[in-house]
Amino acid sequence: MENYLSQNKKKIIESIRNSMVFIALIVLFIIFAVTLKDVGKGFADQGNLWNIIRQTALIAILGVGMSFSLGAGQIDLSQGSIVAVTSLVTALVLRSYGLVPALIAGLGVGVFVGALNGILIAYLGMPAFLATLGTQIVFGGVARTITSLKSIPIVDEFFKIVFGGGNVGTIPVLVIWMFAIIIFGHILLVKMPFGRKVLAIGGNAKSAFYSGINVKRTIFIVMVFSGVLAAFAGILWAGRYGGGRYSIGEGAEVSAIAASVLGGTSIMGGIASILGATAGAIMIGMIDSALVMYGLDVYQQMIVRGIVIIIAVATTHKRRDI
Amino acid sequence: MSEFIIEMKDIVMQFNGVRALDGVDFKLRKGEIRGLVGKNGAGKSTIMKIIQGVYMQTSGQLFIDEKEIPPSMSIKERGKTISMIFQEYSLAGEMTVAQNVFLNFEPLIYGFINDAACAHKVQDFMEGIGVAIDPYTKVRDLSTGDMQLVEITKAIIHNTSVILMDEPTAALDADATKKFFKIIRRLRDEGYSILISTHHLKDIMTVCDSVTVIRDGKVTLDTEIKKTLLKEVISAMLGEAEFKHRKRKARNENAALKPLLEVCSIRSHKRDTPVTFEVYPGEVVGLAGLKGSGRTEIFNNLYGIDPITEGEIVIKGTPVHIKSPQQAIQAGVFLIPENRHTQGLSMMHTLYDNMLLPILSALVKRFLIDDRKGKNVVTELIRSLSIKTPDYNVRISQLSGGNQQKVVVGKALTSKSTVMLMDDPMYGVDIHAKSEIADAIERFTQEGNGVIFVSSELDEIIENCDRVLVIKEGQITEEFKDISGVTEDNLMIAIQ
Repeated sequence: MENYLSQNKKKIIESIRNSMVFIALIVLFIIFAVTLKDVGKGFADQGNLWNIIRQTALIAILGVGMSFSLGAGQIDLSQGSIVAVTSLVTALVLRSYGLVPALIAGLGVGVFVGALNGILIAYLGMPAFLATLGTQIVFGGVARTITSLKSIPIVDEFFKIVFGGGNVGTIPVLVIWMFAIIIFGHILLVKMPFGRKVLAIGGNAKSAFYSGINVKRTIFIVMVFSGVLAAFAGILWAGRYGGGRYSIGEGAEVSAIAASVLGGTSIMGGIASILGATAGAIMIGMIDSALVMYGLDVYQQMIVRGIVIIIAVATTHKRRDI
Repeated sequence: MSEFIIEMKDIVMQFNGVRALDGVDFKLRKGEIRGLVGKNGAGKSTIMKIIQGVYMQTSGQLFIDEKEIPPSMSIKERGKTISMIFQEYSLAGEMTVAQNVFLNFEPLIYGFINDAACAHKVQDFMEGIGVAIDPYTKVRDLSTGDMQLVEITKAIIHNTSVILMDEPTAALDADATKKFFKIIRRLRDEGYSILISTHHLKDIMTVCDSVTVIRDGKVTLDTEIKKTLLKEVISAMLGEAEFKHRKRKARNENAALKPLLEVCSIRSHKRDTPVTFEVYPGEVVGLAGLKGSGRTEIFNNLYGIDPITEGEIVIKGTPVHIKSPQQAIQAGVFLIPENRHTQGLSMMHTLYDNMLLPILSALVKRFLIDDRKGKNVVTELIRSLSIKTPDYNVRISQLSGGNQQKVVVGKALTSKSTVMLMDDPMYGVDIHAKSEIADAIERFTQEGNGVIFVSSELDEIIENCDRVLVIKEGQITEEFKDISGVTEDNLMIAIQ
């Protein structure tokens, strides 16, 4: 009986820990709303909140792909470079060939880089950290090379509305895309065989293998999936900023990792949460916005953001024995 | 001066009221090689751990070199005389032999590690005991046998005089074993006193000077090797009349029955001796052999982990191609792997997730996993396998070993396999869970399925199998067509 009691206790503690990111989100929101209510229209102003979510959307989409790769015990550091290359390729193809070819080419970048990552990791046995660090650097170079550092503007208004700045009623298009992808990612992770196989591999690849799961193919697909989502984020980024540029998405993968880990995804694999990652992304967005409103300059923001992330991870993450 | 370097007098060791050692008198003579023999759980490693200082005996005295050793004396203090060689290698693969041997004891010049001096000392020392390994080689480039020798060098270079070894040859092939024992004899001639525990009784008979046999925590034989015979050692180990608690119910003896599984002279890259046998519906076939005899390797062939390159696997009259575990499961074969922690289960996940892993795709209804159906499947298995768990969502690491193992068996049952390959399924499992796993085997075979059963414990083979194949060096050397007349002694002699 005692055993069951302590087990229940453990369960409660665990469920609190699992929802920690949502609690933290609310607590931070209240703190910011109260302390910043006299700055401009105030932190809790509807316009400001939409703005935060709009800024968050792209990180949240990357976070979906990142949750899958982390959940499988891998990582994808090439996301930021994929975003940059995609924004340029989409803008270039859009200018010369039109919308559909532009989307195909843009997503093609994600498929290509993701497949490359997948081959390196799953079939050549490279550690994901190093393989995707390599592709991050290579495609960061590609982004700087294809247009010799020049930005490519997008003039197609339809593209800019559908894939970036537009609104449906009061809801930004970006937010609709974000929720569509989050819902899809969430269902894929928790209700479809693919997601459970991914987590099983992250938990113990060997037992997954002995259970008849094609471990290599699954990891390959995870990396392609992460690449395609990064490419889609690149298309949205291009739409939002009205063009492609090599610096778009730079360092975004780090924010995506932070968002995922804040949301309860284990960096060691086996545990992932899309909804948690989304909350994590929104939290980071909120912090960024609040710091600006507090009047901190860009470099001070960096310092505070780093500290906040460390505190947040320390409180939400289950401690491991080293 | 006493002739004994280690002496135990009337040692009793209790764990939670259970007597693991029950008044043991044990002696290790100076400059001898002594074998320590007994079944798993008889108390071999307890004896070693008391000498080494890992356990404190409940009562009784321990003398090392005539001095009584207080139970509280630390492992480190005892380590000045005694070295223990572990089964798991404790070497760092990326470092050289010399660096490993002197790890944490590096000779320094002006505060810097003197690698050359290290290498010299190691080389001299190894030459002294007849080991020829370049001290500059990286350990990961060595053979398993050579790693074992480096491990010994590392253990004894700091002037110890007693070496305790637990199953030192388990991972070695025949040649490496021979080489290993040559070194051991040389060490004895140099004056080292050596205690070896092993399941390979033939090794004991050829290498050791004397042997101590224990059974159920008591010494049942203590003699010089030249005054005894293998048979005597075995009967001291197993006891006179070990009546079986359990026998399989007689299987369906139908001569017209077609085999369920036919394995026709299969070979693979990693296993080059062809093997042929068959399993009939309702039958449990035992593969008896020592660790390293090739039992697991045959399973790896049948399960597509090491796919066959020659020969044929036929299930219910149809040849099947098994190149991966996935294809094996599709063909109706499921493996319960040797190690449930590293191969069988994902310890961080729930019972539910583990149990359903092999059949996720079968649970899909309109693209989504039907968790209601999943719950029914899992709840039913928890009931039929009597898994003790608060609920199906409990993390697997919170279950006892026996219940964890039942979950692995459950995985095989969910996947609707017709042939279950069980690699030591009762290892580290309590008696109660053992009998429940045996019940599951019984039910599984009554439905016309087949089981291939591997175990290091011969009594488990006798209790659970209908027919036994003896495996030695990757080949089937003998068959016991009917288990009912076979005793543990028969099997023990056959597998040696």
